[in-house]
Amino acid sequence: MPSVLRQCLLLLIVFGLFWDRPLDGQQPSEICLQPIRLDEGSSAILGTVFDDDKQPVAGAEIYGIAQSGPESKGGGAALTPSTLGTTETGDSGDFLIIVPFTGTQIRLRATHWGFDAVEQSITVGNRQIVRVQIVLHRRRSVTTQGEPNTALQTIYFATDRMPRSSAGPEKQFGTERSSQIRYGMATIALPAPTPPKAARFGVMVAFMDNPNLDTRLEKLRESPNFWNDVRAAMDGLKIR
Amino acid sequence: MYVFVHGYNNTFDEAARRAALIAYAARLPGPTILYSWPSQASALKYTADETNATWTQLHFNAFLEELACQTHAHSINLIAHSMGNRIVLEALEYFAHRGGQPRFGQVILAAPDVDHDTYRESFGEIADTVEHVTLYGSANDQAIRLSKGFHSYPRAGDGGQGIPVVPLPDKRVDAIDASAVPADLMGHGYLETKDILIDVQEVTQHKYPQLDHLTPAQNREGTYWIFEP
Repeated sequence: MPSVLRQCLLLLIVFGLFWDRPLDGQQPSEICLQPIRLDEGSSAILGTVFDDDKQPVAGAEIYGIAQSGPESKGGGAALTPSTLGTTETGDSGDFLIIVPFTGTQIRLRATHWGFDAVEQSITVGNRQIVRVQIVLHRRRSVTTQGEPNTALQTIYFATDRMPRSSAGPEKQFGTERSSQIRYGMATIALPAPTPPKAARFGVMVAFMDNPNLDTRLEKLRESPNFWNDVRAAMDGLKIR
Repeated sequence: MYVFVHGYNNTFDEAARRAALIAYAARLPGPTILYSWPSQASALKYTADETNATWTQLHFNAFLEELACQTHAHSINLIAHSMGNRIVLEALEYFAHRGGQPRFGQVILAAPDVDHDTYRESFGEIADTVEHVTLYGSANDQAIRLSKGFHSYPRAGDGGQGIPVVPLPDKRVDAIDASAVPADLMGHGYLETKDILIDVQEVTQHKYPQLDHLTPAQNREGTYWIFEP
């Protein structure tokens, strides 16, 4: 074979090894060559976060949650479901999580200001780098009082205020004492979501004097499953 | 997981909206739980709110105990505003007396309407129960000024040279002077400003202190940090 042809063939092979094929949004796949040196018994997840317009999302938070099963490098006890770690995507929407064990399922949870959280499960093998793409969908806007772009935030509550019967959620708990603590969840509409670094917080100064102008208690309900709800939220298993 | 305790003159509705704003803008990790006590939601009912802040204490302690028990949380993070700081500090003392369980991680005390000396001396009890305390005070907080006049003694929410500093060799207790942060007319709502919420975010992400916006300063109690927006 002529040497030029041989070189071309070699280039093609090398190119093929490094070729970062477009991936299905939900299906992780391997990179053949590993640009990162991994120790025996460890693995890595290399990912990119995009928005609905296929633009990279910088500053998204990625939580890695290990499910039960694997043994650590040192042959230690099996892990219980726990947070592996958190990281933030860079300007190009990329993130990297080094996993100090293999053979277990990792649940990735991506969140970002103004987007709905998404989750994706991945299994990683020994010294393997798994590449993933995550698509974050912009939070559905709600229209309240003529405000076209509002984010919804869920909080949990515990209160020893006496409940009272009234029409709106904002009047559900008054100023009287109750000997019983009541638990539940509330959904609050907040001003338009913008990335924190570019947030128009000048508005916030205004609504501190009169929060009614900018935020609104949309929903309120007591919850008999309060502790289960809180536990689920702590595990990052519930999308809020 | 963060528990937010509101201050004086708050309806449930206002407290819920404040908690949501803090959770959202500071991007608090994990669930945020509002603990709402029966504030009378009237500027003229300060002493009634003081009474109820004391009355709610047993409930708040019981709630924290249940929270730790039900969630098996390694530590609980607390954020308090204004009079809510009294409830939080009392709870920390209660659990310190009880043997230090549950443990508390980040404790963020904003505009504390608490006696200055009582705050400092409480660390004799609570130092081993908490990981990191961040106190925000402001010399431009008119509500704290009024409280100081009412109680005849300096408050922990004072700023400038009056900010309380607790130097502990093996514990992070940061005092941040937020006097320069533009806030509402009373200067009492700076916890809800962009600057402080981003700072809170950094505290919760253990990036603290971000020295680019903090300048060290000294008062007679030790080193504190001046926040420069």
